[in-house]
Amino acid sequence: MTASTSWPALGTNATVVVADPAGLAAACAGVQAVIEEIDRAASRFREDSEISRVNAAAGAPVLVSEAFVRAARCALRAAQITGGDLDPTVGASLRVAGYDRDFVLVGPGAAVRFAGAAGWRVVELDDERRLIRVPAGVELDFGATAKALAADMAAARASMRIGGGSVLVSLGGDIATAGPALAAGWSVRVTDDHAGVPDAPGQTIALRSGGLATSSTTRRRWTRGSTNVHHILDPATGAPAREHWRTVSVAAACCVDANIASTTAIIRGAGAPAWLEGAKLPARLVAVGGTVTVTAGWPAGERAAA
Amino acid sequence: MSPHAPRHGSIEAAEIAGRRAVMARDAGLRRISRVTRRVILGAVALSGGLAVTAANAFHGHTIVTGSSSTTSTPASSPSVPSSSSSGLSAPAQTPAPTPVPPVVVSGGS
Repeated sequence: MTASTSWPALGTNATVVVADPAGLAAACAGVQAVIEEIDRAASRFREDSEISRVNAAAGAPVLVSEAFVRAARCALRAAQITGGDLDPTVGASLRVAGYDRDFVLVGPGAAVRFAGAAGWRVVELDDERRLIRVPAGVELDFGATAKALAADMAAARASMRIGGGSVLVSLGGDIATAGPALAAGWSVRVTDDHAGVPDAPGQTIALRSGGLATSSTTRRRWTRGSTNVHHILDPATGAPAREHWRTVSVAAACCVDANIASTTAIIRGAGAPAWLEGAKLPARLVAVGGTVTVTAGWPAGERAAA
Repeated sequence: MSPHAPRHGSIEAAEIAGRRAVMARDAGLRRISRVTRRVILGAVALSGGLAVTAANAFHGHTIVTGSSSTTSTPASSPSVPSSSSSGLSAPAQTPAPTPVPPVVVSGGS
């Protein structure tokens, strides 16, 4: 018997599910505390956030919190692992492309000239002294990793608050689990839209441990001139990644790794399945036309999504 | 002179010759040992000298950038059952099909 609750958070929804209903309130308190930490550190749309302070520092070093260091280190690790396919210096590219405010406020606009990212190697992070410096004009964005990091941290903290009990945390479809694995696993529907109904076209799987993330170009789209823009940019060009896959779901040991893989797969396009196989990451990739490809032991489901 | 005297003399001569051979062998072994020690000491001294030269020629420096850090720590990993060359960790168990109604939806956000 599980218990769950959801509330708006981080521009999306937070959902907490616990195996023991008695622990739901304590688990939610732990999750909310982590959400607030990460939001204060990494929200590009809060003037009082640390990332806004860093982006406005014009090349000066900035003293930041431990939560910010962790988010920055996580983003830089993603960049290193993916050879820059995910890049935290993509902030200015997103702004130029029109994603410069909370997404609900982004509307149509004039045509733009996309601008590539400065490149993650320009970021200087001193973990011990908690100092970060980015060159003037470079803007950080941790959107590719911060929500997944928050999910991992939140699940761990929630489990700790309920004496090591079993917890699942979903932040906008980025899912982390903590505590003893349930015998039957956590039942999760993977589909194009995290806000979709439980029987939306997709597949239901049992997640027994670790994390699961889904990246999709079907959400957060807007127009600039005649160009239809989505939020997953290729840092090399600053333009939206070419759409080979519309949705990619990946299971990994933690939500951060799952999210790194799912977003990178969108950017790498046709080469993604071989890369995911090589990384031994079970994944489900839905092509723009609906054809489904699975890797590394992901259970075969329907061959074509709606 | 005893009939055994010549024989005794030849035995003594043989013993002396044997002792000389043993002494010569021991002396040779000592020389080899000395040479070996000197070669080892020379090699160690040469290595040390080269290390000092290299250290002076190529000064170390610390670069704290995105690619490295003094206390680089990977992101939170509640469980890290296996790591591939990609740097990403696979789950302990792969997802499985289930008839159980979902408790949560994973999709784009």
